[in-house]
Amino acid sequence: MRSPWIWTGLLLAAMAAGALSEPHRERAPLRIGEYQVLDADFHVHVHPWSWATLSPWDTVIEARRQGLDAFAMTGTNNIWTGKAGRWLARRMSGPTVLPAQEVHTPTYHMVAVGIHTAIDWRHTAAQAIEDIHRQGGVAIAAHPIARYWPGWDEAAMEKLDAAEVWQPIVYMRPESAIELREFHARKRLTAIGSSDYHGLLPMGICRTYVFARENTEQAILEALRAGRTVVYDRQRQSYGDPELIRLSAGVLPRAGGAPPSNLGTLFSGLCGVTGLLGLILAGFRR
Amino acid sequence: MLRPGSTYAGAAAATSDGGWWILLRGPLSIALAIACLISILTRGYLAPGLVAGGVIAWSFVPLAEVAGLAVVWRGRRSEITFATAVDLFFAGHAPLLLWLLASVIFWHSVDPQPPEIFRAWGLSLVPITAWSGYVDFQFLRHVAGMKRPGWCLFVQRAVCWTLFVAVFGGVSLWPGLLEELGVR
Repeated sequence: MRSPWIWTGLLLAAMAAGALSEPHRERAPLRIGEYQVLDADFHVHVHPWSWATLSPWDTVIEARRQGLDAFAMTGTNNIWTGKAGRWLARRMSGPTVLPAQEVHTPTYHMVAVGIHTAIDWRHTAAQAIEDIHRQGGVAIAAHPIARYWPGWDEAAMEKLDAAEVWQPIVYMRPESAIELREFHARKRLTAIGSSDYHGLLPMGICRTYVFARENTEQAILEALRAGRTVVYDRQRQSYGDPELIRLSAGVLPRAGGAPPSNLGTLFSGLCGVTGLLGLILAGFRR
Repeated sequence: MLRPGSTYAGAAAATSDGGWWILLRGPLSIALAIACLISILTRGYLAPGLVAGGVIAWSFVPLAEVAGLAVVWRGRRSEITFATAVDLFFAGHAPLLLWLLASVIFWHSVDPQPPEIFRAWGLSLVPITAWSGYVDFQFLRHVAGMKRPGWCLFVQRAVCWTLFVAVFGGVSLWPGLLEELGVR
């Protein structure tokens, strides 16, 4: 079958089915004690400039679909994409977006959450953290595996607020899990679980439960500074504030992620793949 | 796809002269294909919003490719119009798009796999890059009639990939490069 119209028709059918059967999952806000427990992801990259697939507007929609209450839209060595995302999220009644930057240097990577101007990547880790704090932000060590440890000297460790203790790097390099735990245990650091989302694995696949007084940027930053987070790894091992882990036992981790597929989305996926395959082959032969 | 030389030789003779639609349909198809692939990768199905957003966000890819082609187009010896050339050039993207489709199905299906799978996926890029290069080499030789198709392919790739990496990676490029080179 060489006619591209058949394949185009399949693509249109796939889009119609996708639109009509888009699954939704409503989740009641979770409160434990005086805190609202927020599902958050503090390391979400966005297109352009950050090697990611989704644009800021699609990232906001996807975060909502993945059941995230808040996330840090993280530009690599830039902050403007995060600011654009926050602006969009406010108009789309999306999750709370915290503008962030992954300070990507040759010696360490750090997520600066809640800043308003970009951090110079030529800074040492200690200098970068000082700048982050001056702007009222929070400094999170991003995937601090052993190769980055030389970048985290004593001066930096003294000022550092938080560290990723669970993130997808462990899927590609299993020994990373031990290194992340060792780094996190160096001092009292806020525990962070992040997806380091670039588009391949699902957003929020590793997430942080934040115990905030409300779902606002300021309240989330305050909770991070105070260390009020809990993270669960794949084996349901918990990290974070021991008192909050005790309080939330049996409630966390709660079902997160995207809503399950249904017949309509399966049909859409099948038609989409078939339509694309046909168009690719027909296109070449035309 | 398997005999690009003879396919291109025939296609160059059979294709009409051009017009805006001929110029645009190849780049638009590629942008649409990428957007559909991103939707399947992200959700497993085609979400119209994601596809529309993807077309806008990823239209820079075919634009970068057209820019690369435009740079080498001066050296052509064939009579075909630029619009027709663009159309035929994008028709040669089948191997790359098939690889992307397979990758998207793979990545959407994996519930984090062992590291060996990641490496195997990375290695699969090598033959597909080589084959895509060969297809485009045949395009430059048979359709554009370039005197030095190898050199033209190199220049086209250099322009296209520079633009692609600048938009996709942006200001993280330099520190990333230093990190890879072990410069502290």
